[in-house]
Amino acid sequence: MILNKRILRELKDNWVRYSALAFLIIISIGLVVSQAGSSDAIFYTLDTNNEKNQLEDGEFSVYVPFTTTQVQELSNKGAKIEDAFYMDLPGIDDSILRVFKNRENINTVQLDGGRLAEKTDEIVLEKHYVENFGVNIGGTITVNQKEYTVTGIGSSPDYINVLQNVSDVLSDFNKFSIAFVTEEEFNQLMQKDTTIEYNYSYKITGDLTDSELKDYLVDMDFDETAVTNKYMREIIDEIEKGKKDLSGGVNKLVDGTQSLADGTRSLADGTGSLANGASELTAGTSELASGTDSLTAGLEELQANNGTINKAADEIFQALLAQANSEFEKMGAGVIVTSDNYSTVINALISSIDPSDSASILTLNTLKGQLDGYKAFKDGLQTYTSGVESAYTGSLELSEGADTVNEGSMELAKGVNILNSGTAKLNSGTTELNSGMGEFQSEVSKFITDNMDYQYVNLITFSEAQDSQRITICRNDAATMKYAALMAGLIIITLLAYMISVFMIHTIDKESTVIGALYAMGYVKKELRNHFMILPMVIVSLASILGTVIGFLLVGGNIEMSSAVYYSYPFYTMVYPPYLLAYGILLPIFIAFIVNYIVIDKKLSMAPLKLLRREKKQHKLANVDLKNMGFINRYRIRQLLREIRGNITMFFGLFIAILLMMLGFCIYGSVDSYVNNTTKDVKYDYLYILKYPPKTAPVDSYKAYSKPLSAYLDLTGGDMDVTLQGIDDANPYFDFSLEGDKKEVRISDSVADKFGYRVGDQIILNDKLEDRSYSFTVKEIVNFASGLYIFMDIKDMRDVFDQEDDYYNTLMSDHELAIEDGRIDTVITVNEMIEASKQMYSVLSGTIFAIVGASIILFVIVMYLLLKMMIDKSTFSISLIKVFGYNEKEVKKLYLGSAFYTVVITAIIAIPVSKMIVNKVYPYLVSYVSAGMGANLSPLLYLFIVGIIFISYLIVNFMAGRHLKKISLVEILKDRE
Amino acid sequence: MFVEINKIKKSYGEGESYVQVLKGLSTYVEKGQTCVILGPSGSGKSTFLNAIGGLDDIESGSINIDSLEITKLNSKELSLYRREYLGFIFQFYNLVPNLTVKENIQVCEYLTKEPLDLNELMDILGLTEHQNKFPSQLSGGQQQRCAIARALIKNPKLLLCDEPTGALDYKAAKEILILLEAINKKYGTTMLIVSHNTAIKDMVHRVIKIKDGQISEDYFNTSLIPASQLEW
Repeated sequence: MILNKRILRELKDNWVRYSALAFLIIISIGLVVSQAGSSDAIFYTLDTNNEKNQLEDGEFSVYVPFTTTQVQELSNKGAKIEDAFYMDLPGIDDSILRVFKNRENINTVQLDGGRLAEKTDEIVLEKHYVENFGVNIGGTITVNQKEYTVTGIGSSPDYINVLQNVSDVLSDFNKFSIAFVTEEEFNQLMQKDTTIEYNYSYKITGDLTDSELKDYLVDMDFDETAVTNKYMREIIDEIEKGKKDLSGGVNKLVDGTQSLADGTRSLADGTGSLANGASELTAGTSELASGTDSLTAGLEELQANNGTINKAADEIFQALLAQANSEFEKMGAGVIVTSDNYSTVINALISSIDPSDSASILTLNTLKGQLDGYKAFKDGLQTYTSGVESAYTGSLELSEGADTVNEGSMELAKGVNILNSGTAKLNSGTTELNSGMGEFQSEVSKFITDNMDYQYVNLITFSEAQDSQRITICRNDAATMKYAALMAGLIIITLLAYMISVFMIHTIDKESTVIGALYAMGYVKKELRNHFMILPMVIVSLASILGTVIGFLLVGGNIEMSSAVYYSYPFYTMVYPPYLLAYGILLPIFIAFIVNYIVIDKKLSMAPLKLLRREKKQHKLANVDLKNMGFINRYRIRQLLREIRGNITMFFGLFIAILLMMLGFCIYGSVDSYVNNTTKDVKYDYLYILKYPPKTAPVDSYKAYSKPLSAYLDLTGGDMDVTLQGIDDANPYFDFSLEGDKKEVRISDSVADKFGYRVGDQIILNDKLEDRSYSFTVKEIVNFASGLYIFMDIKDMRDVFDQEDDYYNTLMSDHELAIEDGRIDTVITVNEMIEASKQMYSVLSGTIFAIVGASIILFVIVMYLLLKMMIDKSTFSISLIKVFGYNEKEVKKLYLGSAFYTVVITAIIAIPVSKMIVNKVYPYLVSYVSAGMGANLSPLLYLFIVGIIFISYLIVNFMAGRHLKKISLVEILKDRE
Repeated sequence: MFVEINKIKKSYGEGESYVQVLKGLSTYVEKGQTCVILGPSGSGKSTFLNAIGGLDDIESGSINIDSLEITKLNSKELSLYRREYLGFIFQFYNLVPNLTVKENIQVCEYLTKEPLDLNELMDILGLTEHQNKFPSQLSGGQQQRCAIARALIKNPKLLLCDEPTGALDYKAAKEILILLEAINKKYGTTMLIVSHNTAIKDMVHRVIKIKDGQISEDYFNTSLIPASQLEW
C-alpha cells in the first residue's frame, strides 16, 4: 500500500518521539531480559554444577565419626554419605578459613582454575577469597601458621552462599571462606586441632526419606567412649559420674526405706498398746462416771434430810435448856441459860455455890455436861449436814468431771484407734515402699543401663539441602529478582504500548482530515487501521528485539556485578530460554498490538465527515465550572482537561517512575535502617555462642541461652531460622523487662517485620532436629535489628527446654573473654555485625543506582514526550496566543503550567501509594534474607524523592520550553482549519 | 438518470438549536454532466454533497447513484460505493503531508483495479515536474491539482468537489476550473461542484441553487462558456 510509504517519513519527522519510546522499550526489555536471563543463567549454572559436582541432599554432624561399618550400614539403608569434616583455621588478615579435605563423591569442588591439592603443602581456595586477598594460583598463603601453595581456585555446591553460620545474614569474604587440602594434610591438621567438626554430606539413593534418615541417625548406636573432643569428653564424663551418683543414691535410698520400715513397724506396735490402754481407760472412766452419778444421788438424799435433822437437834437442845432454866428457877438461881451462855452461867453458878455443896455442884456440872454433850452433838450434826452439802456439790462436780473424763477417754480411744490404724497402714506402706525400693533400685539400674546410654545421641545437627541457606538462597534470590523483573516489565511494557497508542491517536487527530478524505475516497477502516498499526508495531518489534538482544548481552555483566559478587559458583553458562525470548520479543508486540488495535480502531471508527471536520467529542470534564478562578490558572486547567488523556497517561507514566524511584530509595532506606539499628540495638561488644560452655562463666560476662529454631514464613512458603534467646533481667544489654508467663516471649522488631507477628499472636517455633514444636505468645515487640531474635526469660527457657537451672550456651560481654577456642562455636563482635550489615550497601548499590537511574530516565522521557505531544497538539493556539502578544514566559506558564499540576497531583498520589505498594512488595524481594528489613524511608529520603521529581520536572520544563519557543507566529497561517 | 435525489431531508441539533438543513430536496444529474451547486453559507449545499458522497446520512428520501440506492447501504458498503464510484476534491486538499505528489496520487490508484494512467494524468494536471515534491513544497493551486489527480486516478464515475477553489487565488482557481473542464471532456466524468463562486455556473451543464435547504433554482446551461474565459 502506497500509503505505507509515509511511515518512514513519519518516523523521520518524529524521530525524537519514536526514538525515545524505542529507547524506553529497549531499556525496559533490556533490563527485564537481563535480570530474568541472569536468573535463568544462574539456575542453569547451579543445576549443572549441582549435578556435575553431586550436590548433597543434606548434611549432618556427629560427635563421633562413623565407623566403616556404620557408613556401610547407612549405605545399605539408602543413604550414601561422605565425610566433610572441617576445622576453622586462621587465614589472611584475621579471616577464618574453613578447611576441608578434598571431596570425592558429594559436593565436589568445581575448579575455576588450577588443580586440586595433591601434596600436604597445597591448598585450593574459594574464588572470592582469592579475589579479595589477591592470591593467585601458584602463590602462597599461610593458614594456621603453615604456608601452603595455592594450586586451584573454585567453589563448592554446598557453600554457594559462603556463610560461616547458617543463621548469618550475609557472607563476608574478608572474614570467612572455605579451602580444601589433601586428605593426608587434613589428617595431620586433625591431630593438632581440637575443634574439628564431624560433618557428613549425604545423598539418598533409595526410597529412604530425609526424615527417616534423621530418625535412623538418632537411633544409631555409637561408642561414647570414642569421643575425642575434650569438652564433649568432659560432658560425657560428667554424665557418667551422674549415672554413678544416681546409682549410689538409689542404694542409699533403699537402705533408708528399710530403716523407715523398721521404725514404722515399732511405731505400729506402740500405737497398738496405746489403743488397748485407751480402751481400758475408757471403760474405767465410764464406771467412774456411773459411780459418781450414784454418789451424787445418795448425797442428794442425805442433803434432803439435813434441815430436818438440824431442826430436830436444835429443838432437843432448846428443850434441854428450857428444862435447865426450869430447874434453875426451881433452884431460885435466878438465871436463864441460853445456848450461847449456858456454860458461863453454869460455871458462875458453880463458883457461887459453897464448894461444900457438892451435890449442887455435881448437879450443875452434870447439867452442864449434858448441855455440852448435846451441844457438841448438835454442832457435830451441823458439821455433818454441811459436809453432806459440800459432798453433794462436790459429787455434782465430780460427776461432771467424770463424764468429761469419760468422753475424753472415749475420744482418746477413738484417736488412738485411728492412730493405730494409720500406723498399721504406714507400716504396711513402708513395707511396700521397702519392697518397691528394691524394685526401684533394680529399675534405676536398668534405666541407667538402658536409657542413660540413649542420651548420647551422636547426631548434633541435621539439615536438608533445601533448608540450607548456604545452598538455596542464591537460587531463591535469583527467582525473586526474576519474577519481580518480569512483573515490572509487564507493567512498563503495557504503559509504553499505551503511550505509543496515545501518540498514534495524536497522529490520527493531526491527520484527521486526511483520514476523512481517504475514507471519502473509498478507503476502509481495516486498511487505515493496518496502516496506522504498522509504525507502532515496527517500533515495538524492533525495540523489543533490540532490547532482548541487549538484555541477553547484559546478562554476563549483570551476573558479574550482582549475584556472582556475593555468591560463590562457577562461571555462568549463558542460556536462551524460549519463554524469555517470547517475553522479550513476542509479549511487547502482543501487548502493543492489543492496545494499539483497540485504541486506533476506536479512533478510526469516527464517521469520515467528523474526521474531515475535525470534530471531537468534548469530554464532560472540559465543561467544569471554574467559577472566578484567575485567568492563568483557568487557562492551565482548561488545557489540562483538554489534554486529559495525555495527562492521565502522564500520571500513570510518572506513577510508575515514582514507584521505581520509591523502590530504589526503599532498598537504600532499608539497608541504611538495618545498619543504623544494628549499631544502635546491639549493646554488647562480644557475643559468644558456645558449643561446650564452661561450668563457670567468666566474670563480667552475662549468660544467655540461645537456641536455633525455625518458624513458618508465609512469604517463602517454608521455614526460616530464628534464634530464641533466653536472657535474664539483670542483663544490661537489653533494656526491656522479661516479666510474664513462661510461654510469653519478646520478639525483635526484625522478627515482627519478617513474619508479620503482632503483640498477642501465637507463634510456633519448630525444632527440626528434635521434631518438636513450641507455642509462644508475643508479649512485646522490642528493638533489635540484627538477625532474627526472639527473647524470653532464661529461667523459663531452661524450663521449657528441659535444661538445668544454671544452663547457658551464650555469653555477652563488653570485652573479649578468655574462653578456650574449643568451647566456642562462634564469636561475633558488634563491629563485625556492623561491617557485615554495611556490606549490604556495596552489594545493593548497583541495584539501587540502576533502579533510581531507570526511574529518572522513565520520568523524564515519559513526561517530555507527552508534554511535547500536548504542545504539538496546541500549536495553533500557542501560535495564536503569541500573535495576541503573549511573551515566551507567559506562553510557558499557560501551556507548561498544566503539566506542573499533573506532576504535583501525581507526586501527591504516587508517593504515598507507591510507598504502600513497596511496603507490600518489598518483603517478597527480601524474603530469603535472614533479617527483618522493612521498606524504610526516612523523611530525608522522602525529600530526596520530591527533589528528584521536581528537578526532573524542571529539566523537562526547560526542554519543552525550548520546543515551545520554536513554534512560530505564522503557524496559525498554515492551519487551514 | 445517473444521480437521482428524491425528497431528502436532513437536520442537525435539538430543541432551540434544531436546524433542518435539507427540506425534502429532489433533483437529478445526468451522466457526464457537470453540475454546480450554489448557495449562501448554511444553505445546505455541502450537506447535500456529503449526502451524495455517503459521508452524511439523511433522515428520509432516497439517493440513487447509477441505480445504486446508497441510503440503504451500511458503512462497509458505503466505503465500497465511494471506492468504486466517487472521487472527492476538498477545499483544503487534504493531502497526506508526508507523501510526495506522485505518492498521494498513488494512494487512490491503489483503490482501483483499472486506474487511469498516472503519468498522463500528471501531465494533464501539470504535476510531472512536481511529482516528487511533498505537499508542503507546493502552492495551493498545485496542491489542489494534486488532490484532483488523486481523485481522478481511479477514474470515478462521479466527482464530488467541495469548494475546490475556495482556498485559492483567482489565477490558481481558474487553472483548477480549466482542468476540471478538461477532465470532464476527456473522461466524461460526472461532476458535482459545490461552490460560492457564481462564475462557475457559466461553465457547467447544470446549475442548482439551494436556499434554506430547498432548491431555489435548477436549470440547464444552454450556452457554456469555457472556463478560461470566466471572470469574477
